[in-house]
Amino acid sequence: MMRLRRQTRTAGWLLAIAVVVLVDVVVLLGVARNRGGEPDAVVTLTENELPLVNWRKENTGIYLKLQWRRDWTAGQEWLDAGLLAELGFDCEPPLDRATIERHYDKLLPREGYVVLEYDGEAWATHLEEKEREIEKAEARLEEGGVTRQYLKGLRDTLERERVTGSRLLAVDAGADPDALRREYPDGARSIILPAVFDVFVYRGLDGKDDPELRGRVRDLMLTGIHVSNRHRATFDALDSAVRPLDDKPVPPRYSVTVKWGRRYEPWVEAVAPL
Amino acid sequence: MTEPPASKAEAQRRADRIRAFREELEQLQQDGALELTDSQRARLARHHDELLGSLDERFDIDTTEAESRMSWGMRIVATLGATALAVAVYFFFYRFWGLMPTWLQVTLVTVAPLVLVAAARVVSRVERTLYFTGLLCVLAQACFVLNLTALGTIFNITPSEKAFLVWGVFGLILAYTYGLRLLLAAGLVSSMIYLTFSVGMWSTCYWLFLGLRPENYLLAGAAAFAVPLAARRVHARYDTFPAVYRLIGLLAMFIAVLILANLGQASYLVLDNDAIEILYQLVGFTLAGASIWLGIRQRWRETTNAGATFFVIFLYVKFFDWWWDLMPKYLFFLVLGLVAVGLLLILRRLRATLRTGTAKGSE
Repeated sequence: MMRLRRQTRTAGWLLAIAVVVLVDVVVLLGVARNRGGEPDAVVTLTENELPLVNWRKENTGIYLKLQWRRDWTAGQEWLDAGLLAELGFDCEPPLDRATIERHYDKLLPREGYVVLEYDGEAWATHLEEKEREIEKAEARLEEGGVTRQYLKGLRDTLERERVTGSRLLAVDAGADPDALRREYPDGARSIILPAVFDVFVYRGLDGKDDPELRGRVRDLMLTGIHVSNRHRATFDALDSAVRPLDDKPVPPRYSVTVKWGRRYEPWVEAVAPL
Repeated sequence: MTEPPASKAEAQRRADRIRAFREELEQLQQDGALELTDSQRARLARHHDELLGSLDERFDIDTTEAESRMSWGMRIVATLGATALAVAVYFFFYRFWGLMPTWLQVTLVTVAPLVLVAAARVVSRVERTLYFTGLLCVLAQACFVLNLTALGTIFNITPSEKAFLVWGVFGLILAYTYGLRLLLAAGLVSSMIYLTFSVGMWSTCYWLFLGLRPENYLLAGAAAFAVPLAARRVHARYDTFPAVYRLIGLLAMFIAVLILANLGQASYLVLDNDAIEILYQLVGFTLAGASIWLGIRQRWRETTNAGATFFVIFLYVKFFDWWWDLMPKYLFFLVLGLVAVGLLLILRRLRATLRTGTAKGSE
């Protein structure tokens, strides 16, 4: 009995050591694989897209949140039934009340890949829409349809978006990241990231329209990026972790060059003050 | 001559029986129901003293009531201490890691669990009670969790449910190495979480959201409950482990059913939500009744207690559904109290029936 206990304890502790060593080797090999070879994307973003996560003093690590522009209410119109089916959603049942409650409301989110475009056509289109909204408001101001206050609010919002808004927008999605990269080959502008998608039944902003099946990018699987200690100096030089709120929007205070590797996992290559 | 005990728990039960026997023997002699000669008394006392001495030397058991109470206290203190130290390690690391280069961060989180496992090994060779060994093992587990969490953060690795599997395996290895129930519970819970998140991974469902479907916990709970049945030979040496498996398995199943009995939309079933809730309420009562029956039949106290507890919880939840809005509050709680009294009377009658059955069996 004592001999068996000794053998068990010897084997046990060696096995425990082996598990730790093996797992860490696998993890670090994965990191090496991600960072080996040509990166999938190399993009220089600003504080607008990578604001500091304001951790309290209990955590001295530096962590940047990846901020991208999304419409939670209306989802992404380009995430149509075909694309949703490619992601694995069953969109066959009709959109009557019973199936909406029993089928679509129960569909669990699924994983896939999203393409985020940086400072590209989607961003330009977004700004143009805001400018058209202002033009319409200016025309209605003359008729007395809107107030000056409302128009000023629209102009201030546009100004704030230009200076502080994230220029990352989701433009496409799919199950195959290689196919997405072939369609969006510019790794300096398009970032392909693992993401979580879900479907919802959209009934218009007032909830009265006919039901329409829509998809949305629920979230990215990696919502932020850890910054290693060697880039600390730029962040330590900031007056505050959070950008100050002034009457005039404050432009970004730093830029960050980020690389995304073969497993679509990021690392910070360089940080510079602006 | 009976076989020597295979485990500390068995040895402790023997010691408790000897203590109880001595107390009853003294009482019988005082009552005049039994007379032993001096030589019989001396021989019996010598036999029991030698036996207790041998068991104490091999297993470090409690030979008196005071020692038993002290041991419980030490176990509680060791558990609390281990938990506090584990949390301290976690906060200590995150307090200072931002000031360290990457190579140092990786080295610290990798070396910490290895050092603690080795330390537990060294301490276990000199310590029979395994309190400090257990504490070191809990710390090792905490450091291994920190290890993977920190590596994931440092290198921005996409989160994966496989972390729960390796944490579970690590905890189970330490548990079976030193016979530690706390590590067994930790390893088992982690493994069950992995099983829950893995169900449905054959589709493209994102693993984290599989936790929103309590049916996934049912499978994990049933698997945990079945482990001691499937691995009886292994658990002959770990006779306190099966109760842990059964209790955690039952808790997972009961909690899953309780959620579904009140939140039908969380189910996989494509039915009306009210119908789902009624179905799972029936499942809950059936499962609770079956647990009580099985626990009594197999003498699994934790199974009986879990079944009885959740039977009452399911009942009270039904009462709340039916009467909370209809009755004045004092009347509602009065009904709950009277139902509890009624259940006590039923259980007392059941106990008396069991006692009669046991007495007839021994005749």
